[in-house]
Amino acid sequence: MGFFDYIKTALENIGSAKLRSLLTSLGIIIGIGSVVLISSIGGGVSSTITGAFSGLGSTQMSISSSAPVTDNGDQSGFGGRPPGGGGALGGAAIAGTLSVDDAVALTTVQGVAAAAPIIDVVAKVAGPDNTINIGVTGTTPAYQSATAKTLVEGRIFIETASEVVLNQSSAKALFGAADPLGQSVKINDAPYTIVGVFTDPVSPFAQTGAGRRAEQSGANSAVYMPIAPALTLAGTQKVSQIAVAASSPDVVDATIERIRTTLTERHNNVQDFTILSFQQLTASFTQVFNTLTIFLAAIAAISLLVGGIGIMNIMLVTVTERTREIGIAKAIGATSGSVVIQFLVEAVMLSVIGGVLGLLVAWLGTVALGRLLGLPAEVNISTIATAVGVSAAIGIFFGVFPAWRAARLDPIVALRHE
Amino acid sequence: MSQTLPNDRPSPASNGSAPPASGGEKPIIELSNVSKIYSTGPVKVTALDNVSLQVASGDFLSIMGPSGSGKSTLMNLIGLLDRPTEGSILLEGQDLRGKSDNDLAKIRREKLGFIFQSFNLFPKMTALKNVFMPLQYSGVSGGERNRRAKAMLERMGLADRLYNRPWELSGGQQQRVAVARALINNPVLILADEPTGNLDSKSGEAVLTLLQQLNDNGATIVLVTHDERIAGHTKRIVRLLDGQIVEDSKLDSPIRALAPAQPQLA
Repeated sequence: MGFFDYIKTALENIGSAKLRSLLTSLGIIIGIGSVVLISSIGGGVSSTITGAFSGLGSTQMSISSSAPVTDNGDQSGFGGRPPGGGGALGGAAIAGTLSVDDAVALTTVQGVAAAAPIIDVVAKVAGPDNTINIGVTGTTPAYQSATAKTLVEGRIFIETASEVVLNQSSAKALFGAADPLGQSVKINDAPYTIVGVFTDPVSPFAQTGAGRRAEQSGANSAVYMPIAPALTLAGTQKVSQIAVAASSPDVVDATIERIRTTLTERHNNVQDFTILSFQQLTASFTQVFNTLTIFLAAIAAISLLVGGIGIMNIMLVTVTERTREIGIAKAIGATSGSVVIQFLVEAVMLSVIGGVLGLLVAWLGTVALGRLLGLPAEVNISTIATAVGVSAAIGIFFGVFPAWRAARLDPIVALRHE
Repeated sequence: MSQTLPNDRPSPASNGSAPPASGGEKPIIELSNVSKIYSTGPVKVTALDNVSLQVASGDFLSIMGPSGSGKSTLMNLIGLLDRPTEGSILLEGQDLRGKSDNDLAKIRREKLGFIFQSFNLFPKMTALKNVFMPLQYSGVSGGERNRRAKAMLERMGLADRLYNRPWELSGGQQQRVAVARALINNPVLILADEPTGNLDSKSGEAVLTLLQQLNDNGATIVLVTHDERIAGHTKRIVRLLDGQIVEDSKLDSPIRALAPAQPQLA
C-alpha cells in the first residue's frame, strides 16, 4: 500500500465525520494557535523594542552620578530620554558627582568616540507667540555624535555662542508650522538663536497608542543649549550624566572598563557613578522578555497536551467502532504494519489539520493584534514549520497506542464484532 | 501457478474441469492430524480433534455440521486466520508452521479469496474500492487496480454499481461485490462461509450459480453451510461432528443452480 493511499484513506475517514474530526482537532487548533500567537506577539514586541534601541545606537553608553545622589531615579536615564521627566521644577537641577572636566577627560580614553556632559534643567522658554516650561538640556556639540542624534535641519550649536537647537516637538510648540531656523528664543529671558532642529527622540513605543499620546502632549519637547549657561541656570557645576559613544559596538564592554578606571581615579578612588550601555540594557530586556514569552507559551502548550489526549481518545473510539472493518482488512490481507500505519496516519492528519488551522487562527490574531498595538506581525517560516512538526509529533505520540490496539486485534474476533 | 495466468480470471486448474483429483496431483490445501484446543482457564475445549483433509485443485467442497461441530474453526484454519494447536497445514505444498502473522496475511491476500455470510464489505467505501483493496494491500498501482476491479465488477454484472456504497446495494449485489473482491487476486482457493445465509432464495440461487460457474472454470472452492440443499450443489460433502470428520462423500450429480446466470463468466 502506497503512502498516498494511506493519506487518501485517512482523509476519507476524517471527512466522513467532519464535525467529530473538527472537535477532535480543536484542542490542537487552540494549542498551536495560542502558542504561535503568544510567540509572534512576543517576538514582535521584542524585535520592535530591540530594533528601536539599536536604532538609538549600540555603541552608546551613559554615565550617571550614583553614590552621593540619592534616589533621583536617574540611573536609567540616557542622553536621549525625554528631558524634563526627572527634572525638578523651578530651575532646580539634578547634579551629582560628574563634571564637565570628567567628560573632557573621557575623550582621551581608548575606545571613546565622543563624550558629552549633560545637565537637565527645566526653564521658561519664550517663542514669538508663547512661553512654555520645558526641559532644557545643557551639553556640548559632542552630544550629537555621543547620542547619535539626527538633525532635521541646520547644525549643532557652537559652545561659546548664544545658540540653541530645538527638536521637532519644541519647534512645533513654539513656532507651529513656521521654520524656526534663524529665529530666536529666550531662555529665562536670555536670547538665543536657533541654529538647528533635532528629530524627536525615538521611543520604543512610538508606534503605540501611548507613544502617540506622548507626542501629541508635547512631552518630548526639548531644547539643547551650551553647557556653561545651562549650569548657571541650574546653579551647579556638576552634571547629571555623561553621554558616551564607543568607536564600535565591539569595544563597548572594554571601553566601559577603561572609563570606570579613569573616572574612579579622577574621583579619588571612589566609584560614585554608574555606567550603563545600550547593549547591556537591550540584552537584559530581551532576556527578561523572552523568558516571559517562553513562560506564557509553555502555559499555552498545556492545551496541546490536552488536544493530544483528545486525539488519542477519539482514535481509541474509532478503533472500537471499526473493529469489524479491521477484521475484514486483515482477513483480506492487510498486515498489522499497514493497520498501524493507517491509524497512525489518521491521527497525524487530524493533528496536522488542527495545527494548520491553529496557525491560521494565530496568523489572523497576530495581524489583528499587530494592527491594534502597532507591532509587526511576525509569523515566519520557521514558526510554521515548527507548528506543523509539533502537531505531527503530537499525532504520532498520541496515535501510537490506538494504532497498536487496532493492529493486535485478532481477525477472527474482529470479524465477529457487531 | 495461477498468478502467471491472465490477471482477472479465476484460476483454472491445470487439468481443466476434471473431477477432484484422485491422486498424483498436489492438493491445494492439505490438513494432517490437525487439532485445535481452546483453553480458557482450567477448561479445555477441543474444537477440532485430529482432522485430516485434502482439497484438490478444481474441487468444490462443502463442510457441514451442526453448530459447535467445529466447522467455523476448520474454516478459520483453512483460511489461515488461525493456527492449529497440533498438526500441520500445507497450502500448495508449503508448510505454514512457523509463519508469522504478517506472512499469513500476505499469503491470504495472494492465494485466498473470502466470501462471508454477512458480506463484510467496507461500509464507507464504494463497490470499486472494496474490490481493489486486496490489490492495494499487495501494492498494485492505482491505475492497474482500478482497471482490474472494474473488469471484475463488470463480470459480476455490476458495471453500473461501481461507485455505489454497500448500503445502496441489495443483498445479492453486495454478495457479488464480495465475490468480485474474493476473485480479484486470482486466488488458488475460495472460501465461502454461508454465502447465501443472508440472502433471499433468488439471490442465494444466483450466488450458487456464480460459484458453480467459477468451479466449472477451474476454481477450487470450500463452502461452509448447514443447509443440505446448498451442500447438494457441491461436488463433495464433509460432515463434522464434535470436532471430527464423520463423513466425506462425493456427489455424483450435484444439483445445478437454476437462477439465470446474470454474470457472464465464460
